[in-house]
Amino acid sequence: MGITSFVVVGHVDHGKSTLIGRLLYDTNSIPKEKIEEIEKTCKALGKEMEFAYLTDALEEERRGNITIDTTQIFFRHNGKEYLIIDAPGHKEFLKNTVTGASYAEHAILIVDAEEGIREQTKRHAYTLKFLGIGEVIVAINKMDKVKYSKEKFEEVKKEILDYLGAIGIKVRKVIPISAYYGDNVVRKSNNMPWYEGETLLEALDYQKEEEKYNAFLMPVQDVYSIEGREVAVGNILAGELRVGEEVIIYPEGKKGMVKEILVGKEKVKEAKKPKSVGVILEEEIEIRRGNILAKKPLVIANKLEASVICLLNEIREGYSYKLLCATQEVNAKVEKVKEKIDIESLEKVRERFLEAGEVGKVIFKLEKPIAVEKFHCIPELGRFVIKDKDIIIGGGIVL
Amino acid sequence: MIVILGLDGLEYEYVKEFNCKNLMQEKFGKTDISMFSEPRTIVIWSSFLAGKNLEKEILGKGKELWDFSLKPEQTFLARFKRWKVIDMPGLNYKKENHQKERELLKGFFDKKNSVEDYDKVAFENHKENKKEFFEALEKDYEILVGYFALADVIGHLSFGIKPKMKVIYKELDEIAGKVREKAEKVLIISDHGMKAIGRFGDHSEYGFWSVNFEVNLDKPKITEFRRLIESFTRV
Repeated sequence: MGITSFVVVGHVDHGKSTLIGRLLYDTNSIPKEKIEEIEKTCKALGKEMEFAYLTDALEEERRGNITIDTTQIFFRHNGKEYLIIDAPGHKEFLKNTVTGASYAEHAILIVDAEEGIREQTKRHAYTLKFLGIGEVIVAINKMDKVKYSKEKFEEVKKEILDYLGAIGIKVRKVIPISAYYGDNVVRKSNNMPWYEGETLLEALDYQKEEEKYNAFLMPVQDVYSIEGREVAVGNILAGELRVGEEVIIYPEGKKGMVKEILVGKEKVKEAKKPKSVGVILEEEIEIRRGNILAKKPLVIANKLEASVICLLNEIREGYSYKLLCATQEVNAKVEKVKEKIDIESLEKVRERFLEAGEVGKVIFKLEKPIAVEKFHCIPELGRFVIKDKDIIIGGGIVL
Repeated sequence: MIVILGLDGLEYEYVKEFNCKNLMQEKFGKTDISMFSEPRTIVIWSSFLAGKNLEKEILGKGKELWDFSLKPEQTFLARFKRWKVIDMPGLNYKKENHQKERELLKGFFDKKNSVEDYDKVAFENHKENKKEFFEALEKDYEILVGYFALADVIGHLSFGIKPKMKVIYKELDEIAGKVREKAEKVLIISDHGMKAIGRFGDHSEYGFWSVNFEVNLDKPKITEFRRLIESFTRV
């Protein structure tokens, strides 16, 4: 099993940092001496240890090593690897996801047991929907503050299920937790004997297999001519490739037989994700940067409907932009801005343009067809950036 | 009641980063201490109390800097009848308490004691001032000035350990929150901020200020506050 990536979203005061801190603490992901110094300081000032402090401790660690992207927190538990995609706000989360800075496979929506759904909970839930994350795990937090009451849990659960159902988000699990005390986060709680389900970490182990694309897939980054033979080079995004197998060259749809696979200068019989390789075909087929080599059929589109965020200037109906998806590059005209969504109020309005910071659903007419996939199947072929005169002005997710 | 919280070494950037909502009152910002050749605690607090730059006078005395003290009538306190000041450098500094802190700071670098020993004394001194301050807050003073050295003292050996400093700033933020519930006018002010040098901290070239009322100040000089405080006594 690979890394399980997930994002935690929810209202700012509903305990996101505490939950992340608790996950790191209970999985022993922060050096003991660092925790001890914070614990001693809390004790000396008569305060309880706040687990939100631990996310800062981890940030310190990271700064020392400079290995991990600042938006991602990595940890291990029982031989499994996890990656928390840090989402400081819904706009940053949108921006990071559509531009490929981060990708979350799972989403945890955190809700305060005392307060229930707040406006920000709704906005974050809608952001997930906008990004095509159609399924969430709901963590009803601060159960300690409602005396671990089953009735209160059921009440908030109903409220959240009603709301998420109304906007079309499936709920995989609803888990009562106390991030502060560690109930049902990594360890099963003794305070809620009425709950017999999984802990939050166990719930994340579920693998979403349904629409994952597992067959070989490689966007061509460049084509070199070596001793008269064309070598298509790129990074394998999914699956594996063997010598003698047939690949389809998208978007044209021509087929070719794999003659050689190169890893560096070395010939290999097979290669798999995430290797960077060179592929030589038996046939003399013209391959260029932007082609996609794949074993299974891909969707070829000359029209795209997408969730789009405008980051700079504006994206306007009738105007043409450059659309970049994996290594594919195509001129794209905005046929229609179907709707613009006010991310604060969630109101939908009909406008002919999106301005910086705004999101909406947009239909693009492409100058030539490209290979695309739904974002949750192959993120790299499901997201794109939009350029205007070589400047990135926005990004989107294929719907 | 007017309350002045004198928070030694409180750093503007950390107040913002740790989202200390009570420390950041209605108006807040950095103070200008560029008039001083170095950000020395005793010089800045004395100048704040007197409303004028006392650097030359303090450095010129040629004796132990920490022995310098003003008379109340030389400060803004002259305008008030019922006042209380707790542990303020340049007025009624608890010399013994802070002498002990400084010895342990030196002892750490001389490898005679640990950070823990040093922190312990800082926390004890803080608790003492906190107790005295909250008792005074219940009384009928016109003006109460409470000095807390926690951010500075802990900061000297730990300013670069952000999660630890966050606990310290949260403590000071809680104190500010309680003060704001009680007092009519609140001024929170530091002599200087801090900058990280590895895990340690050194004084920065500006201070912090905030007030819970409307005032037209941008980056005020630390000596400008005397006039502001005195203006509260005018009817």
